[in-house]
Amino acid sequence: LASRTAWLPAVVLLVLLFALPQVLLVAAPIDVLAASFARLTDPLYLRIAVRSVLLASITTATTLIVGFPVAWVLAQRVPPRFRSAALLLVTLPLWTSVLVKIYAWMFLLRSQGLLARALAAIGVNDPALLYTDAAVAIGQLYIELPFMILPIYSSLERLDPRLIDAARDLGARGATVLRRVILPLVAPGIVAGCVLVFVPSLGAVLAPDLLGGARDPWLGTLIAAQFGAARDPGFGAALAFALAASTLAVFAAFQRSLRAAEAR
Amino acid sequence: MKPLERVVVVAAILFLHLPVLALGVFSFSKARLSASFDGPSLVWYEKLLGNRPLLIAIENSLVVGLVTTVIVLALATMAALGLRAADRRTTERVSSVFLMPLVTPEIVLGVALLLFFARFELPLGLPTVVTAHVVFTLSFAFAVLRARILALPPGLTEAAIDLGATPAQAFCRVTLPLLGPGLVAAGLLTFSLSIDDYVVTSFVAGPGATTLPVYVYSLLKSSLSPEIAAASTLLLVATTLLLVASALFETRRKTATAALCAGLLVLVAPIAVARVSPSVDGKGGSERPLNLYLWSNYIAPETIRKFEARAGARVNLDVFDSAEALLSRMLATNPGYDVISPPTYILGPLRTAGALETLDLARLPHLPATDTRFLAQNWDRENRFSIPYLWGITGIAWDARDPELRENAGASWRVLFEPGRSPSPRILMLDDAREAVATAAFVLGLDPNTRDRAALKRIQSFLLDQKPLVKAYNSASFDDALLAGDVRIAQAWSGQIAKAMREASWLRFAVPREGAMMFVDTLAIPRGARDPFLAHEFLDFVLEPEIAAEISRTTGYSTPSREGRALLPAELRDHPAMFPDDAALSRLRTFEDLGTDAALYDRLWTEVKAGRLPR
Repeated sequence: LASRTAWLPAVVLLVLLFALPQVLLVAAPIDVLAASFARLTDPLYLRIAVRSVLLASITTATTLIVGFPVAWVLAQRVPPRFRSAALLLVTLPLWTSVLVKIYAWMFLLRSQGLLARALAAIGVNDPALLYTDAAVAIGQLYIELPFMILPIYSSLERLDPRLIDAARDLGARGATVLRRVILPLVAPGIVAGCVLVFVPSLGAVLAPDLLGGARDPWLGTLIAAQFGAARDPGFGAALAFALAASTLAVFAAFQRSLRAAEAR
Repeated sequence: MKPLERVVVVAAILFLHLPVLALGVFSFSKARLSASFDGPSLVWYEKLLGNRPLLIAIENSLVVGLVTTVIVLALATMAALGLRAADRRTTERVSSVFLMPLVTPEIVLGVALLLFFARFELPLGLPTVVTAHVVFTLSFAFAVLRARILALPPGLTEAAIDLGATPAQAFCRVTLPLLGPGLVAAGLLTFSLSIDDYVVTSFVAGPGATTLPVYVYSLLKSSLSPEIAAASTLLLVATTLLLVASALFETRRKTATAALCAGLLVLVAPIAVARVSPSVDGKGGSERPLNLYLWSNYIAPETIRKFEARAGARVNLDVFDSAEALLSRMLATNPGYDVISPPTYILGPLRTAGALETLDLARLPHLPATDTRFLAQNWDRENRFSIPYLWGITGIAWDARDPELRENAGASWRVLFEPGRSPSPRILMLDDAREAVATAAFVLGLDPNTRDRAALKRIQSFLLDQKPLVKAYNSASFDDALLAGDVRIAQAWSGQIAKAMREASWLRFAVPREGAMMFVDTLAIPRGARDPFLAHEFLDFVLEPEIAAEISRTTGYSTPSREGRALLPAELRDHPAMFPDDAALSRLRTFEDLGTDAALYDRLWTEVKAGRLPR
């Protein structure tokens, strides 16, 4: 039953229903295509793209800063008998709907929400929480955090703690141990986490729309709008294609840096 | 563990869980918008059981999730097993095909599939949703199964065959049990990805195929109801039980089975209750489906229930919150809607594109109950394509308790363009290019339907100046934003404010002295409607004076039905936000079709949203 070509149906399906639609995305008359792509270089859209890249970078950075210590403690410090329970608690949010998570933050951040009440109790009145860029960033951090923790955890788990002791014994200080021993060994996990967080963040639609109050367009909402309010599916297709191409480029760059790290 | 390390883990776990747990706690509070706990109460769970669209959405999600999981597991298992025997180069190539969906933003896949299905004229519905879900979950399941297979000792299946088992026996008795935990993990992952997807689904779901995330999104946009909190608490309990079941699968079968059953029960029970309760049952299998595509907040569940009972129909309601969204969807291809609610100013482009059916007036005997001011008007001279449904006004709504606003804030549009004393923004604007331009035009003394480039430039600059004062752009839940205190003053559509004023005595609505836009929304039958006969029945149903009055009462928008208005209670018949006095009526203008200049408005609005370029 497990014949040599059993992988064929799945691959055919992906080629027909994943690759082909994306190729057809840009299968328009050449002049229409050229006009659509020419619009991409308009400073207006470039600015929206820059903002989105910035949001994705901030999300990647914050999840890394928060996620790495958590993964470290989970993998290296939590006693083994508590480890699987702790891991389950970290993965559980992956099974909570993104919309529910966003709704929870809308509930916390609104003017008479829990956070505003807590802040009022310590004398901060009328803080701007919901419908700000900060709300979008917090929402993204909350949604993406487990995707950063898990890959880093799985590579830290395999890290032999005796290597660190050995480095210490040989006179390396904390920062040196981190830079010369730990980071090179967990690089694959970090890179995987960064890709898993950066790519979806770049095309994020829900948090910018619901937590950001739709004040600013982002790449994701801009593309969605072309198929709705802006009535310009041709341009939307061009935008989507450009986004797909650039994430692929980011991914290729990540993979190359990973190979380089492995080669060292 | 050192204390600091303990703090790190505990803080992370609290951060990941507290927000959702808080939501769970407040699902037992009676309060709708405020964070003061008023309970415990099961009122939102009761509402949930009576909310049939939500239960149908849950059912759709479960069906899609299960079918997707079965297909994906079959394909992914075959692929992972097949690759075991393949050479290195094939393995690398096939793996890279599987990698593609993992590194593609969801919105790209959604857009690509929508255009793909449209090109081959495949009707959007549950099959297209399942197809899309299979495409984007396959890679995840494959990755999990492949890892499991690589970890297995090689040659076990071959050994079984050497010992005399047939290939089928070897597969069922040796390979499959070894794959067990991998299959459970891959299945759970696939199911949870499928049941949680909004972005891709929103592009490929047609009428009647609304899944839970799509429905929840429309609720989050249109009104903030703790029913969502109740539904998500149930889902959370169910998924936690399923996860516990999978974690204990290998070590404690009995507990795992119990958890599995309990989890499934939590998921299925509400649907079962809804199915057997007579109030929502209808007429069983003979129900004819009617697909409505209306503005959000534009019809009440009881009206739909009455029509279903009368006509033996099953109504599927989808909502939009901008006229342009309706237009672009209907101009592409009608995905199967029977009745839509276009505002008068997009009837022109819809007719030009041949997107509307001609109405059979003989089947609309209640049409004469309508006020003649709304019949045979310039938007549809003979009512050949549309009947008037509801009308309303774009005015100013505000919180009169605010010391800066008081009673007269809504006298002039200027209040929306002036900074208040508080440093944080407090103004809400509708997320609608035409409304924004019209309001700015009123303040600047320009034509609200202007197509003059120079005038539009001035308007755009004016709106950009206003942007720092605007807290949110929102066309669907501006009423809740006011009620919850998130904003103090809003450019607002009259109906939802008229309704919200019943909840808050301090809420005010006014038609500013510079003038205001009045909109008339119609009902029309799009070309390609699946059941034009039933659609006519629905049109005549909402023209009946009692029903017209009920719709006006429950939505807050004004009815064009002369006889319907007469049936409204006195306080609504002359409500300032529903049927304003003649002086206010004389200041109202209507939107005109922009034709090809609509693109100018789209561009202007995107630029306003993008903000000023730094100099």
